[in-house]
Amino acid sequence: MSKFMVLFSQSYLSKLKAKSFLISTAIMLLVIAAVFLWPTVSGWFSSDDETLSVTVLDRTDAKAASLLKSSDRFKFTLFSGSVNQADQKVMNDRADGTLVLAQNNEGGLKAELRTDKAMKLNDQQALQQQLQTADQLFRIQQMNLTQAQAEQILSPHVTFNQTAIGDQSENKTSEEKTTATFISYGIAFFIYLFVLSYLSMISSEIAAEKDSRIMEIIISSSSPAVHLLSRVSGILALAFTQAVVLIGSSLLMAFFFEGGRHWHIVKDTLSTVPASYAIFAILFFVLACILYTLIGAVLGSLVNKVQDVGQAITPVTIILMVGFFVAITGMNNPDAILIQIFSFIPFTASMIMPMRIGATDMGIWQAAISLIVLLGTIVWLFLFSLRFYRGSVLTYTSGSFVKKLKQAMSLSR
Amino acid sequence: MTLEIEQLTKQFQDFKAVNGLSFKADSGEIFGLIGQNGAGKTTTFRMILNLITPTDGIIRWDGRSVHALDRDMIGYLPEERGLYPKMPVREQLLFFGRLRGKGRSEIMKEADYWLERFGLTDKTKALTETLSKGNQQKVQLIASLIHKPSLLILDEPFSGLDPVNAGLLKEAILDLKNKGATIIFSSHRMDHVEELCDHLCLLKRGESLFTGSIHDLKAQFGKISLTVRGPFTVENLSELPGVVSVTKNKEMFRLLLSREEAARDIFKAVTRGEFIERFSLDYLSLEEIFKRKVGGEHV
Repeated sequence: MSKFMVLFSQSYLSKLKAKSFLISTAIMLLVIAAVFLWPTVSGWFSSDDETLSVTVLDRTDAKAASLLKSSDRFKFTLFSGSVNQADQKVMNDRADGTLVLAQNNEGGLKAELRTDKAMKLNDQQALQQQLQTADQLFRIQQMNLTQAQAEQILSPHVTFNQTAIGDQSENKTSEEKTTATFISYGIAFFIYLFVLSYLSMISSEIAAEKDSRIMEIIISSSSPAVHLLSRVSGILALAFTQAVVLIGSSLLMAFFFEGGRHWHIVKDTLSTVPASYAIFAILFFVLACILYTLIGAVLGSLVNKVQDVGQAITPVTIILMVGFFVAITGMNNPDAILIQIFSFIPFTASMIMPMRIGATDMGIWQAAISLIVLLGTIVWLFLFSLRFYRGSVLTYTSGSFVKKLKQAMSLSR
Repeated sequence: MTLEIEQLTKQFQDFKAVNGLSFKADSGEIFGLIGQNGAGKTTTFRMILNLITPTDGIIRWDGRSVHALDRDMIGYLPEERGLYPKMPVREQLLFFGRLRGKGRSEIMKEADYWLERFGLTDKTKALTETLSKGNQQKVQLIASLIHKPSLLILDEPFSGLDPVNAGLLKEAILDLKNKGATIIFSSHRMDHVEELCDHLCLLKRGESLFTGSIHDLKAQFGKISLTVRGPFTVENLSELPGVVSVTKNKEMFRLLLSREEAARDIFKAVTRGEFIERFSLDYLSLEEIFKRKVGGEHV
């Protein structure tokens, strides 16, 4: 077995078997499962399924009460008695509330809800929504429109098509753009979470090996380059293993949970998202992992103690956060200049460019340029790391970051 | 197989860590690299290990550049513990053995032998961090020699060891020497150096103050350490010609002479034809020479 494989398998397997990795993966799987099973799970703990009985006192001249439709949530009962009698029913627990409907001065509906105790917020909101619809129908009714006219007003659909003339950019439907925006947000979040945890993992691993002087033994029997490559590959393999487990499990859950009622989301997404988008998104994700793992390795090799790792990776964490927040901003306006700029910066491109590819009609060449810049940065960083690492892993200088950099450069000569 | 170092120099910006160092260590020999902290020992080891590149000079192994040396033939014990704290002892040895290109069965056989020899058989499954400092040092030593290296570099191998364990370690080092390994080691414990080394290099701020056999080093100063026991006083002895200083330790008087030849006159003066319990003329101990050479006038 080559030395690279000895080091790679040691790094990969020790972390794969580590309790922290197994527990964090299990927690993530539980969260995913909870998302898929949320309607069922929330049903266990909520009393939303109880139908609320509402007594309706109609004081309008146009039978507005008939516009309220009973559902699983509300059961509306028309009552012809007085308000006091209706209230009495509420007090005797024969009804949950009294709704008094009247006509206001503007020709719309005026409603008063009388309850023994305050209604829950979500019930209140649902009732308000029903009343708004009823108000709309009531107003239309007052205009004496035909049914066909009323339907036309109630279902306004604009047919909107965009045609780009003399431009190489793709034309996407708004549905494609919306789907891509949400997927891109998911990718940005995934990259942010992944990179953050694996950045810290590789920095800590290398700092611990340096701190305990194992580094000296390892690089005396192989070479700094082999050590760097094995550690970066080990962590990347671990990250991709976790990604495969999480994505694979999510697909299986979508297919099997609740009779596969979420599977259509996967099918719809696959049919909406073009292959070029998927390829670019995967490439950007993989390259982001490589870029930040390399940065993590170099930073880990510069610190003397494991406890200094947090401080060393803070600037990178901030860059990641900036990228993520810019990506969130981009959800509302992916064409903004700020988004365009950040989509070319190699440290943030992975989180932002997939959104631009999916949610805007930009030319694909822009994505290609961003990818080339990112790839170039990785190649440069890799070559620099190979040279720099040789010195940095043997540097135990206390003092500023710049001083450490200088000594590491001097040792690597 | 011989390790040869010629005019080895390492310059870090405005600081010269090693300056024109030259020595030779043959197969089946233990060579000591002695110096205070910051003398350049670890930098020299790192250059031999090819971890850092010399600014100048040549390192040869068996007549060829040290770069050509198969890394699997080198064993290295760093000054500080270099073990994975959360890894069991046996797994740790397997990892380091495989890193030196050995197969699992071969490593396991060697590991069992050394663990038994060092009395660690009951610790094979223990996490390294749970072992005492001495036991960790023993595991570290096993990790550095489990692959039967031709060149063994030991940086402070005795630190943290009690006399019994230091004895076990010395035996192991001598065994490897007898099997033909070239061993280079550094230590602050001059008694260990004196006991184990054939040749040594005395380093001060990166420069060699002496390189050669311990006997030659001692001969430079001559036999100027005289121990006597009898009915004397410090004052009497201090007045004798050729005596530089006198110290009394329990019943023993230790005289430091200016030159070896003065001993004959002192013998006549203290015995005066009478019986005395002890008159012993020796070389200075290595520790005393080290202090004189490295500590300079301050000692």
